[in-house]
Amino acid sequence: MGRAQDLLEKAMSNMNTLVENKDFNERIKSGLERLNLQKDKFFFQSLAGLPSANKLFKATEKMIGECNESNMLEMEKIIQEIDDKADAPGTVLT
Amino acid sequence: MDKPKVYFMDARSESPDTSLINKTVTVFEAAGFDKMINKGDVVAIKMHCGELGSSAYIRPAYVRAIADKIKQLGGRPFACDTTTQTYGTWGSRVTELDLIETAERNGFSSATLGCPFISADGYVGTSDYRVDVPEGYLLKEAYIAQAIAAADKVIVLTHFKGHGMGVIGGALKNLGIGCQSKRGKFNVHMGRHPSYGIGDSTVFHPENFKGKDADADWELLENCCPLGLFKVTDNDELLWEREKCINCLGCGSWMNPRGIFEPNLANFDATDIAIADGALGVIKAVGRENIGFINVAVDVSPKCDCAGFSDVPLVPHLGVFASKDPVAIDQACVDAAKKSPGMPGSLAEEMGIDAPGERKFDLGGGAIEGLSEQTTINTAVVNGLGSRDHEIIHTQPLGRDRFAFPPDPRPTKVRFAKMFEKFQPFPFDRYDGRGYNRLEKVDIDAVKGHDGPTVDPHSHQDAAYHGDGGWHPGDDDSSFKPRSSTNVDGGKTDSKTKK
Repeated sequence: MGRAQDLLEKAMSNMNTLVENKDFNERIKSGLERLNLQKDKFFFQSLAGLPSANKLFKATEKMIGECNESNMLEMEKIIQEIDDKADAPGTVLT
Repeated sequence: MDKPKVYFMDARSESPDTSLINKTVTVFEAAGFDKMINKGDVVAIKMHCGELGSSAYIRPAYVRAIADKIKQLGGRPFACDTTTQTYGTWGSRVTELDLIETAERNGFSSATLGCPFISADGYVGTSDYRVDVPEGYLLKEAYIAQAIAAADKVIVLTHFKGHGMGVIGGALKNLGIGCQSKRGKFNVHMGRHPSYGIGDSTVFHPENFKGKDADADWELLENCCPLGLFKVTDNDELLWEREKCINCLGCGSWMNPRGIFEPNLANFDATDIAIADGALGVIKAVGRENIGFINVAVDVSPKCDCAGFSDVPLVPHLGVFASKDPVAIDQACVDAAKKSPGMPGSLAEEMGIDAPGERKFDLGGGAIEGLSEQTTINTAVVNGLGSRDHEIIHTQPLGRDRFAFPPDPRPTKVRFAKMFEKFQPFPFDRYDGRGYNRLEKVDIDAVKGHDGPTVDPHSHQDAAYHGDGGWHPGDDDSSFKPRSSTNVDGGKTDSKTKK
């Protein structure tokens, strides 16, 4: 498994822990569903997705430290960023 | 044997002679390139003019300074870049016409450089000179851009940065890709290579194509290949004549995100190896004694200037380097980047490689995992091109009198005294010789506060400016009491009367 996929798995594992929080349960489940659709794509197989995976991992750690709306929004923002970028062409190879 | 020397000046600048542009000339001299150039020599300055949209490429002023220096030495310089493979779908340097138009948009022309800017490998990219490279680790021949092979001397002036495929974009890459003709670039990129070519080694998943209805860009899957090797059938099948693929790289940005291609590490690694062999080809075509290298390690962007955009630099400016050894100079830059902290807010931070001592390009430059910033450098050691070991020579500034304004280096009084007598730009005849209508004193501290000014808006004005080209005293403030002031003719007037 590549570095980006590995880090994404760790982030998703954190989110699975966070699902137990009843205030954010539905939103975290929804985020996990979205990430499941993206995790095997080239974006995460290559290095292109590593910054996003890194950011999401850090955001989930923060959320575990303090489960609040602001940290939830930060996670959702990164998941949206992943949705926006994962299928975009133009990964720089040359 | 002595270690090759790398002449270095850091990126700090506090005087004209320590400007980065003048430091580039200083290391040029320190490395002895001035002694290499004879009167009448035609000197190629190989630089990268940047893909359209990139902004970190070397500024024309650096090229100009080197061109001026070469002319001063009696040489006849020209600046050049080469045509590219198609690389993407909308490449901006693929033909000579593209290249010249892009170069001009990016600021490179005879007017800015003081010498012509040309496409070194002709219109399509087939003007070249073939050389055998029996010492090559992977390549056994190389195709060198004609104008570079034909020049008497070559200065390889490189913007040092990261690179998606090459991992680093330094002197070796400027030789091993940048000095190859388009024909030569297909060789280096492993076009139709039985083990490392994309057509031969890529894992193809046509089943991941979702069909015309589900893929709005499906036509681009056909149109991304200059040879037309992809075809979408009426049954929504994606076909690929992979045995004819020449590795132009035009398809990757469409196939990879869709999962139709798997990342191809072998192709990337082999290309990085071949860059070193292609670089050796240039040395053989030009002659080791006829070529010098300057790396300008500023704006060290993660991806190459061929990317069409430039991200926040991975590290702060590193400085300028010069050497006769392309391996030593690239190793010196890689070492300097490794030693440096990463730039806050950059990809280095996002990738977690921002600490001093972390390799910056394996992850910050490379597009796929598993690439190494040392592959090309190490191969260039193996094929005999140069040495990783080197001695850094810290070079001293030459003094500011060496860098006067080249078109007119005379000091100020000599240049302007007579001219100012005739055309005095300062209006001494007004306001008792003080020239201009200005308040004698203002509250300076009142506008220095970081939380905003401590005087009211308009408190200093004769009238309020409304942004419509006119001044309207008292329009927005009924309590406005205009002060009387002197008008431009030096007479007294009440600004209320102007309304």
